Amino acid sequence: MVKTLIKVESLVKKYNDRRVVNEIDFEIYKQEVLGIIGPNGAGKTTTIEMILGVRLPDAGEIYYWDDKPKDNIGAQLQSVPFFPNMSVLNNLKLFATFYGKKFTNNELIDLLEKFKLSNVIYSKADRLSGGQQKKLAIVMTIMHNPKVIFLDEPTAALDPRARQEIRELISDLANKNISVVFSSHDMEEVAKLSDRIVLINNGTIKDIGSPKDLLEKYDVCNLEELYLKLT
Amino acid sequence: MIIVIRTFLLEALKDVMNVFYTIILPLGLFIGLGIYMGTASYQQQLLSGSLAISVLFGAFFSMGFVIMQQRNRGVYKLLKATPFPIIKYVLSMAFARTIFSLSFSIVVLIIANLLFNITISIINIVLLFLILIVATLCFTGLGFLAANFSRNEVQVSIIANLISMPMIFTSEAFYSMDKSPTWIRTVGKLLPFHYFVQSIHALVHNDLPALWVPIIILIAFTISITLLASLTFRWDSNMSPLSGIKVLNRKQFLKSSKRKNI
Repeated sequence: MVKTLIKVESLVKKYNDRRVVNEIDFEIYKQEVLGIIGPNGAGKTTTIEMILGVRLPDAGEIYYWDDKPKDNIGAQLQSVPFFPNMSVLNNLKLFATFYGKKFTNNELIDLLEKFKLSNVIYSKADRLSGGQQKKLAIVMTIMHNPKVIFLDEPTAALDPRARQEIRELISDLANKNISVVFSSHDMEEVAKLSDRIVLINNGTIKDIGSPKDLLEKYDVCNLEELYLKLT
Repeated sequence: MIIVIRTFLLEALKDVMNVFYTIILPLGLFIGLGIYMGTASYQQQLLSGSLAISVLFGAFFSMGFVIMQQRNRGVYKLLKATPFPIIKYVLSMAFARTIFSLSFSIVVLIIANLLFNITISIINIVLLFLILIVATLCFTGLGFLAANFSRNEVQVSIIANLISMPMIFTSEAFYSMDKSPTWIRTVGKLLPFHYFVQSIHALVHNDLPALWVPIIILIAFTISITLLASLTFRWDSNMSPLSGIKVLNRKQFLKSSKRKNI
């Protein structure tokens, strides 16, 4: 049975007089992978940040399944907010406190091992490669056992191997009872990972649906064609 | 919160520039000039000056850079997506800086006693700690202001130097201003550092009646600067420093109408 975790209704965000998000509606279901695609400046990040409570909407409603949604949502934003002088382990400890959680060193080391980061446990965060930093950012989104996580362009600016590792990570998370909402410019990646896709352009939703349904509906061969057709 | 405070303390101790400006430079000036000049009255003046510039550099310069870097790295943005309030995070930073200042002052007082035989009564040490706490909050607020109006390290540095250099040179941290032109002394009196140095002087010289006016003015500066810093605080590098008031007014709106359960 499909269960809605988050419902967005008529959401509007204006910067000065420009509507960067213009009356959008969609839902995020339990245990689904939802890909958000659209050109630069389409309103993807602003939408994600409003759902996360980082930005305030100018109009519209966001409904959550929980009284304290921030306790049960994980977020990886575009910037990497680590403390550069601190080790990976201590960064994790610090971020756990932001969610009111405490972990022993062994628990955190186990967690890092699961995500193939055991070789950098004691390295300073600023010494990690781009792929390792993104992986660590994703580890931080799930350490408090959230119901849903938001990943804003998790594979941007990564080499193919690192991209592949992040994709595998997202697939694993989706199999662990976590809803994953991610934005990306990589259509192949979105097609492979997503159960449903939200296509945004100029602040409005052009369409929502499973990759298969959307390809059939618009009579196109792949998501890239669909993207070019609708944006 | 303890983990957050401990993190900031460790970060401060690992930051080479911070250690140089808040520990090595003030301590070097105190010991070096104290031995070179040799007079007891000047050693007392140096004690006040060393404590004052350590707090100024630590709370103002270091915090200015740290706040700007954290904002640009998206720390505050991410915090808004967590249940941890930004105000708690900011207070933890100020608290860690206060612990740092107080620890340094203990080291300086011990050295002052061992090297130059300067003694300060227990009551005066307690009062000194209170002044250091107020001053740390005051200059941390200035650090926030410098970061709020800057977009990068260069701008923080320019603003911090523009404010701190006149404060140091027009104060009596390291020399007497008795023979300086009136306008220079007037400029000094418009800045909080002057009253910070005056209040430490009063304690070091055990002149308690001279303590209260500067400390009241320093508290007034602290309240005003903290208020201004919180109104202009930018959690996102794309925000304008003047958008703070609008955000504060709209927070209630979010709580009342946007978060509904399904």
